[in-house]
Amino acid sequence: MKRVLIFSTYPVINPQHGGQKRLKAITDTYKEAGYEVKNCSIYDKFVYHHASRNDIGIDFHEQSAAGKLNPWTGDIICGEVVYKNQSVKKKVTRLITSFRPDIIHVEQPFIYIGLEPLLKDLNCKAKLVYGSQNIEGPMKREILERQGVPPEEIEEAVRITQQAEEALVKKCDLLVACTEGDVKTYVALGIEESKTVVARNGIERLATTAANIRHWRRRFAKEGVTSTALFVASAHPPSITGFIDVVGKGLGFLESNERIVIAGSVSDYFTAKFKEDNINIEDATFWLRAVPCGRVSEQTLGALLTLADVIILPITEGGGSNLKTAEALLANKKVVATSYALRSFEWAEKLPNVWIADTKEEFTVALEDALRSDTLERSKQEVAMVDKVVWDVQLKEFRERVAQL
Amino acid sequence: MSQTIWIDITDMLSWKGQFGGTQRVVYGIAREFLADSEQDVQFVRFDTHKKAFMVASFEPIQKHHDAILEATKAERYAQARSIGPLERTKRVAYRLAPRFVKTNPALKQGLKNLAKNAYTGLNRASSMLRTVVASPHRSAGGAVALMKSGDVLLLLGKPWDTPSMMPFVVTQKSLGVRVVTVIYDLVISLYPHLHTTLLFKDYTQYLYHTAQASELVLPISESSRRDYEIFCRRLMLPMPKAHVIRLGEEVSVAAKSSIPRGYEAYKKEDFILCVGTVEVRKNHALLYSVYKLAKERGMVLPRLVIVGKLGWGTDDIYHTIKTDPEIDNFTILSHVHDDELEWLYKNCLFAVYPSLYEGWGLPVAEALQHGKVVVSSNASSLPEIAGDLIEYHSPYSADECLALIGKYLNRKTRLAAEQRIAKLYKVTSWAETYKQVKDAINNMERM
Repeated sequence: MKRVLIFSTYPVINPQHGGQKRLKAITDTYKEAGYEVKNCSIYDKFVYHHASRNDIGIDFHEQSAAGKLNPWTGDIICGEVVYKNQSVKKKVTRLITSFRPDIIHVEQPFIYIGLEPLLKDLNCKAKLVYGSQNIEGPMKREILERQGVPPEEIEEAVRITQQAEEALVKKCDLLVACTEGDVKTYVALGIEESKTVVARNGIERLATTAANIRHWRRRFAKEGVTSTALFVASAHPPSITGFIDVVGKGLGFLESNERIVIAGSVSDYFTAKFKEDNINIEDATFWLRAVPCGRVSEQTLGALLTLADVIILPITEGGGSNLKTAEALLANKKVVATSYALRSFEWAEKLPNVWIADTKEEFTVALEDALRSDTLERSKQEVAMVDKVVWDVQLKEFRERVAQL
Repeated sequence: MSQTIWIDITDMLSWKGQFGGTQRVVYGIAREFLADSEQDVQFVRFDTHKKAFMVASFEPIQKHHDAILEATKAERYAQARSIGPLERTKRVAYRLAPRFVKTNPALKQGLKNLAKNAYTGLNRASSMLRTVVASPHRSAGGAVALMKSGDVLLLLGKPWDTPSMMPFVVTQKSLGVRVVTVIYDLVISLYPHLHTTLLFKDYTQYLYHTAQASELVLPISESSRRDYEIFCRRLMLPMPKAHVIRLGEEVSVAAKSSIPRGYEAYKKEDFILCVGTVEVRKNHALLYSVYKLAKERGMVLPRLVIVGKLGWGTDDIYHTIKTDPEIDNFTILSHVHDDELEWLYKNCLFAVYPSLYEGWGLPVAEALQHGKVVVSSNASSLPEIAGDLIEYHSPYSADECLALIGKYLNRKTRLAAEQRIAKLYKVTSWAETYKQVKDAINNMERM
């Protein structure tokens, strides 16, 4: 049995955010293709609380000498310690030499910062698969600029990221990208198109329980809420800025029976930032029309999805194809999305119950319209088209390609 | 079926002291509605426990109003001199604090904040208790107000003092009740640096709900209407129909006038009058700069008499005025009775009003009513009161303010201006305000 060793900056156990879910689906795909798989993540031990035996949790404060210490460049630190931190290096070396993988899969380029010289030292001949989620260099720049990081630190972080990504593009035997657009960028960087495969993000069908649905239905009824728009996101900067730019903090356009229900770590972020007692009229009134749910289990998310009338996708930046988009389409709810959120799901623009809005004015009008209009039924062809967004279908080609490696 | 006008008097029924600006508005308009036999008028109070409007009587308010008028001068003095609950809380905290806290400025400030927070909490709890348990108006009527579609719910007072009321009012809109709300000003929400922030959340949420509940709002000035529009735009709220009303200015002019207590020594001096609570928004700091600038330029200015209680955030300027050896002609009178105010208006050279923001600016109207010139700032609503009948300065320019003061110190110029005011300034009565409100309600559909 061939062996695959997968490297990432987060564990694959108990996947919460989009990156973890994609990695979990890729891991499962290797297994289904008949490989023996081991995951090794080098991760921030204060962020992720579930990990497997091969994962290596690190304390960023202890590692600060190895890289710039700000929350937006933690992934770079994870990569650097693979070679610079002797303890981490030793563990990764032991894993590679004992497991002797036939394929090394690197999810996102960061781990390759330290892994590249280590593989060279070990004279490792394993095939290399690069799992791309975004074009990371420009993305890193965008995030750091938004956070007001000093320009010299931004340049350094972007340089390191791009260097690792370009090295992977040149050396990998297979590159799995999220979109055709990303493939074009990688081809321009020097990879042959035949070495690439597009695997759009997919989803698993969400399950929930009657008790969960009952709980949330009761809670909404108690507050006189009869109509909800669901926003699910992590506290990743593009999710935050997308919401602020496209929906905004002034929710006065919603009627007293309407709410935006916010789930995921973005909810915790908003709760911490938009305090009712802040001396700012937007913050003082935001929660009059928004409901914070915090990080929720898959079952709770399923209940919120079931009860939602509308799902909003106010996404304006960031790479990859968004898992939330696939989830929204599969849920068969009314969807209000930016055209950016529908990239690589362009076919969905013509579906009934889908509103495309790119400015704040358009988005809020579309949301009002969506909340106050009836749901139209999908045709059989449309249902079949939407069903393709599940992981199984999205990773079909990838599964075939890895079998040939 | 005829339309009933339901007037909310919740806050008025709990009001204990002298009538301030808001109470005068509620009383002035409600009384006129009551006197109009053509109108089907009912009064309501909001029961926070039952979450419903209950039928109420206007009688306790009328009695309270009459009692104020009938109170003896000594009684009114005693009431005026009594310190507010916030100040009382602060003083108790200060008395109980150990010496090292009293002598450390940072700890002292911390103690003040602690007292302020304790006061806020206690105030909120007591407000709830007042409404739910001990409210004197609780016994005034127990019937739920059965508002029907097409009826008008008129909010004249301070619904922000009862935070749970407005979300309920919003739901009444969907039942066809037409909500009409008087909008005073947006200083708390849009200019928080000019006001204590204790009320920020409740007041801002109140304004938010007014936009969602009201079919018609009645701002008390064009300036307030503009600010309300800004507020609605920022929060993506629907802007209700708006009709600006002019508030009644009739003040109960005392039949006789008397020199304020403690002012006897200066009674023969010329003086300039400034009426209004001593607080940041009223911009007394500019008057201090004006007097300093005059000194620098060798100008001699008459005494400045400031009439107003010591309010929020003025410790520093009060200290400066009190201790600056160059400023020896400022007098602050914090507890002035109506007949004393009458004496001050009658005998002053003219009035000054350098405010940074007003919803309207009653002291300007009062001075004009007494035939006096007013040197006013051009902030917010102030130019709406008298138009070009008086002259204005930037609230940030001591130079401009001093130039106008200098101009009206000239007797001839001042008398000419007073003659114009006497001839052209028209005092608005509460009956006129009432007519504006009534017409706006009747024409709501056509707006």
